[in-house]
Amino acid sequence: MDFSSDSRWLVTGGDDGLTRLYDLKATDPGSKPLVLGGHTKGESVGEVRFTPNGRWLVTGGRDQTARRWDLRTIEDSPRSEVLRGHTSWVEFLAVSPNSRWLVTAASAFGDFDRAVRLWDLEAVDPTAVRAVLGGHGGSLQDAIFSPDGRWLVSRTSDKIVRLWDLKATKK
Amino acid sequence: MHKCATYYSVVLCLLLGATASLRAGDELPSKVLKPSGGVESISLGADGRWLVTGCKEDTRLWDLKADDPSAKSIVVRGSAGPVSPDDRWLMTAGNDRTIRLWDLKADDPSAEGREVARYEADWEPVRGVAISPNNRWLVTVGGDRAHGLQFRQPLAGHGRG
Repeated sequence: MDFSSDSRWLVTGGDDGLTRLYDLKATDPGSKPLVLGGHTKGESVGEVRFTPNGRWLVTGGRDQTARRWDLRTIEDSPRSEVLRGHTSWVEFLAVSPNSRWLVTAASAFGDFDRAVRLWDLEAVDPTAVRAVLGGHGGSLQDAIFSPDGRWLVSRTSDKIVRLWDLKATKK
Repeated sequence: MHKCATYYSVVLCLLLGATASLRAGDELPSKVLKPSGGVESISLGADGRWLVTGCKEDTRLWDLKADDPSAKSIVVRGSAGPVSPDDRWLMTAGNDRTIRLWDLKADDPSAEGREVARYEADWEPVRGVAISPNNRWLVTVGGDRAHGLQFRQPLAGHGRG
């Protein structure tokens, strides 16, 4: 679960494939969550994260997809863009401090999808993967963005740290 | 046989297609940090300059503002603990029974590790350390005990607090 930076929303991901948004400004926030369908029903949504700028919600699920939700329209018409490409359960999400980059990684269980994917949340087409970070010999444990926007630091289960040069992404 | 070969070539095409779509997007250049013992934890100091990697007693700092951060690292004594909530101080716990703080705002944080606690002879090795969000308490756990220490930042007047 995660709180939005303005403390308005609490989000949870459910084993039933549904994402629930609780309005913390309501009199009884627990009573009537906004229910977001989109991920495959019955496939759990294990990762939920708000971007620091309060614009997007991103979710990752067992249905091998990640999704971007627009918080500006979420109450009236909740809709998500689907980020496809992983071939296993999406079980890791990280958002850069400037809210631009999303990193996703899949579960290493029963699959060899160790590629870490980088998405540009501000792109015209956010569903086009911006970079595939390959060469990992293990599953992703940690991802940190440097505040100057230059580096993405990844740590994997094979005890290796890699610095990815974000300046090299094409505009 | 013939049918089989067609089947396999279709499967092969599908596999190749899947591989190609997986490779969509840029390939990003990367630099590998691989100290001999590997890395089990990473954290970032104030201003994002020093990247801390830790694995048991091997704690290293890498300068992310350098042209090639992977070219060299600075070693500090002790195993890597947490960074203070204001991102300034890295705490390490050493085999020499001391807990030290390293200034992540310094040009060379390894120049002077400030000893902030020395644990008693009967303490078990420190297994975990934490600093409270208000920067007031530093807690260590080892063996069957937890120790709370007043966390006074060294070098008062040189920074926050």
